[in-house]
Amino acid sequence: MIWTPRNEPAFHTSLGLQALCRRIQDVGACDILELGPVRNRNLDFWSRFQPSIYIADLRSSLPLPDSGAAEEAEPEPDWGQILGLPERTYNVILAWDLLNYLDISSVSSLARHLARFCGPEALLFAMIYDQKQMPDQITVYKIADESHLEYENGSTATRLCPRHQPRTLAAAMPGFSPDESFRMKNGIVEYLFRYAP
Amino acid sequence: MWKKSPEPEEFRPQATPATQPSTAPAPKASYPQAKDYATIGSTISIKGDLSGEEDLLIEGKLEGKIELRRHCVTIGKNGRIKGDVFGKIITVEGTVEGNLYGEEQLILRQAGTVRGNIVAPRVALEDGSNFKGSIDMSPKEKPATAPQDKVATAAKSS
Repeated sequence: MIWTPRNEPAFHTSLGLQALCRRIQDVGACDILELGPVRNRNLDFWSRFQPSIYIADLRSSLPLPDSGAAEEAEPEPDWGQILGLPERTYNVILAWDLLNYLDISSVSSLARHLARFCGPEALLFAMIYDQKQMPDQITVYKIADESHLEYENGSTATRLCPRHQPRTLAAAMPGFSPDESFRMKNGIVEYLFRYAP
Repeated sequence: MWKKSPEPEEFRPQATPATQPSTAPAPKASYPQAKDYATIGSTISIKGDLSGEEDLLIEGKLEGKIELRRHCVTIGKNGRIKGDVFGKIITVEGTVEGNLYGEEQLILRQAGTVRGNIVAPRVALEDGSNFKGSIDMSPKEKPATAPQDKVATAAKSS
């Protein structure tokens, strides 16, 4: 089964989310950096971890490159201004499918910026498309349960997928190592990066 | 400046729900009717802090701190607030630039916009609402006699 964009919500099995929950369940309180938009269901889900959550909502504030231009050189985003993160540390970062919409140099600059806000052993959850096409816009994921995500995308339009490879990502994200990865049947590879500089 | 609303009309501050340890029950579009609440109308602008001992609906503009820690505070669709808001249950349908401290719950409606931080044990953010900032839902020690200290502590720690 290949990932297909659609207007109506659809479900996606997520072993990466399952692994993330397993890893943080023993942590007393979570400091979560959500790079996606706010969703009540996600907030409800994370509430069991007594979290402090920062909503960065890059989906609304990040100018995406033109369709198919993800491989081309783009001006490096000013992550300090875009994210506006308060001076604190996080132990969970939810990137969802954001990295697919950045060229590799922007992935690198984002990782370097995020590293300043990572606590020891912080975990970064990312989903990388490994197929020719991907949704034209960053997808909104709602957590259904520990291993299922509901995703919604406003349109069925697609764009070329940069297909970031594991080695490329690892090299572009100094300090972050892919601790666990899950290749899903729908053409998405889910990564759990651990920050250990 | 203040006026008592004879009857609730479109929106109304909510009755206090039972306290729960978790967060975010699915927010409903309708609110329990309150018997009595004060209103700041849409043509009213206030610069300065505001405090009181009754529920409040704000449809106007206010620059300053709002402190109704034991009462419901509602920022209506036309409401524009620049400053921190302290309330028992805070509902936002308008725009707030400042931090929100809910003793029991915070509700951000679909039309609401918040630029600031939220501290509340229960938080409900409707999909489509506009929020950027931090949410702190971690439980705080509740003092036996001084509920206001709890928020003050939360404010310092945020």
